[in-house]
Amino acid sequence: MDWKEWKPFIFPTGDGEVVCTGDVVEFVGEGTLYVRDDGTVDSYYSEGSAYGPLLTDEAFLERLARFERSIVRVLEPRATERTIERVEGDGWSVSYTWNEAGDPVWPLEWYVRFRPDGLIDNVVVPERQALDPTPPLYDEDALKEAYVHLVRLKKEWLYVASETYEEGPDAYVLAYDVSNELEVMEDGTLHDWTYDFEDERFDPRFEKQAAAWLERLFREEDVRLVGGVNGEEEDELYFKRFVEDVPVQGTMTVGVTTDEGYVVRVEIDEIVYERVVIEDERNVAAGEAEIRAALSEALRVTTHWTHTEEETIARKPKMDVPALIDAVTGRVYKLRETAWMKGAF
Amino acid sequence: MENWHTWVAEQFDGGALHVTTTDDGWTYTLDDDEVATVDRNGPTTYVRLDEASETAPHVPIETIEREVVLAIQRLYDNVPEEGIVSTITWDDAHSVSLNRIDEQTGKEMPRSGWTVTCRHDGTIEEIVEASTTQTFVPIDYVRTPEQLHDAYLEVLPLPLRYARFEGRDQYVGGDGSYRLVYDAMEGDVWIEPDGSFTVLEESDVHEVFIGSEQMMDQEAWDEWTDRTAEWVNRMIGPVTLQWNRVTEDPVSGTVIVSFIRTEGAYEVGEPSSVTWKRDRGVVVEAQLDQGLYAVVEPATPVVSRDEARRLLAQQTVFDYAPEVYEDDDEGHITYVRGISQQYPATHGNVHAIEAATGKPWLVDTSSIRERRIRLDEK
Repeated sequence: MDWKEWKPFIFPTGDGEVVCTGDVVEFVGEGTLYVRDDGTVDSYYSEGSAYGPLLTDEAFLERLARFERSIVRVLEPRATERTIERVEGDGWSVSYTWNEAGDPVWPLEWYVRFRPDGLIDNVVVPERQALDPTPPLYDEDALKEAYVHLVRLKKEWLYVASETYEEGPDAYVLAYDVSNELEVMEDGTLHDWTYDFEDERFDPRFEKQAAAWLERLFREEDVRLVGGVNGEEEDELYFKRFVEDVPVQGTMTVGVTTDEGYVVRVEIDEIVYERVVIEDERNVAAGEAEIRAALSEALRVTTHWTHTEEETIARKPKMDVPALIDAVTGRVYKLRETAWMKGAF
Repeated sequence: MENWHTWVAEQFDGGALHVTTTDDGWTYTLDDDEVATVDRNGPTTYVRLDEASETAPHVPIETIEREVVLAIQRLYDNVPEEGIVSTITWDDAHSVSLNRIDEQTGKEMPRSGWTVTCRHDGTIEEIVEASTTQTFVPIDYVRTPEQLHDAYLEVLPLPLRYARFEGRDQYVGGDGSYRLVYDAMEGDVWIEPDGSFTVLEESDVHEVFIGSEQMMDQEAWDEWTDRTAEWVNRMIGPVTLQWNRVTEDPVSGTVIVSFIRTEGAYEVGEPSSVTWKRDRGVVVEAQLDQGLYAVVEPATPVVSRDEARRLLAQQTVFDYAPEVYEDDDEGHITYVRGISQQYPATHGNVHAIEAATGKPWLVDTSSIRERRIRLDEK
């Protein structure tokens, strides 16, 4: 590759001095590009000069199209898939990859970060790696059925923010978080990572001391112990607020000394301070069977390329689990897509 | 030197191990499971990879130390005639070190031999050869050990404070009570091997800002210290606080207030901090020193500072001892005979002198077992 082709995307004026020494290409005053022995790009890091005039989304997309024509298509002709994310107030992140066996190979993606003025901040390209072509061994329906059957339906007051969830009401909703600790393992089985606190033993006097301490902070709230971990000098106790016998999102972690039970450490999720408003009509709860049916309806099992324990890249099953289900109406809330643009380019 | 393979096979009860030669050494497998590796790239290291048995009976520490020494003698050909064996016992393992002795000073040469991790049932889990060869380089001394002793004690500020006489393996005889002491740990003194030393300024030690933290102005300082005082009063009770600093982290939107309790003219315990979420005005994190809860009986010092300094001087010994000067990947260590503080076998450093009685607070080192042995005897 003629590294001068990168100039328009690196120098503020579009031009400047380029010095090549072995595997290092220096864009004098702006940044350094590292090249692998096989001639492929390893990475680029800018020196972080001050931003020039900021680009609009439209102007950025025009510039990106030029970058793709002169650089991406030349260095990675296989690239067909692209994801663009807006980085709040600080430019754009763009990833490129290609499809193999029908799925994008995201573990080998090119990552390019653009500054708000459209110049490149950094580029990271993973080393080329062989893909394990073995098709995944799993039965989609069996996996889905197992998940729907095994997932713990734990009711909780969850704050459903509109910026996180599609059509989120910006309020507490009595819901089931169904994206919990079940993970699809490499062999296509499910593993439940839920930690049981049954083996932990706490001095009941210290539990009371810690609870009384929190009650001074959350007056007239129902605060209860939900778990904890024993330590040598300090036990860690987890508390939650309860409203109508249902826990509220967010945890209060309290560290108490194991000798005298003094509270020496507190961590409180900010969400715990949010008020729970209960609407009157929320009194008919959907049954467990209905919730599991709603989950089954919304759950998708797909395949994706992923790094395996054997340090290869292979196709494995992936669960696209809806984030949470309204415990009253059975309504499914999905996480908002974080990408601004996604797909073929 | 005996064959590693024979020794490793013995560790697995003579099981049929399969040996694979790698770039760095050997890998041993048993029934397709990788159970051990020997890395010969630089100093030779052995690691056992299987799970520890939870039911195997514990073996006395004397037996474990003897087996460790025998294993080292069988596996390595550069074992000295005399050495120092020291053992630290953890919850799930013992760490046994065998180090060489410097003939000139008669002191242990740190990292000059091997460190072996053993499970409580005596199974050797890891052998790390800390160094293969050792040499000394001379240095020019600025002071003698005696001169350093006097000069060091003279610069210690020995401030009075209420501190916790911590038990639980911290101080010999500690009972958890708070007592007025001359603090021998305050005033960081950095001692060089040649006998020179640097007293770190308080600003060097305390003014560390993390990430995007910034100090706040006076008005904001007052607002957040008032809120913190009210919060501590509500959560813990009426205590007097001295404010150390108030910083803001604009990235996380938090305000961090650091403070310490005082009683009369003296500080109590260690500093605490409360982290506020700025916009909402709520506490999201707090690190609270036990001293905030302590029952502190107001005390006045009976022992003078000069007397405390004299008592501390009696307990403080400086002498020549080997210190690591340089090391490399090949396992070669260069030592200097530097001047450093020496501790008796019975206890460690003196952290404080009680202001009422002159009693020294001695660091409890009873979990470390150390003895000098001859390796050429049976």
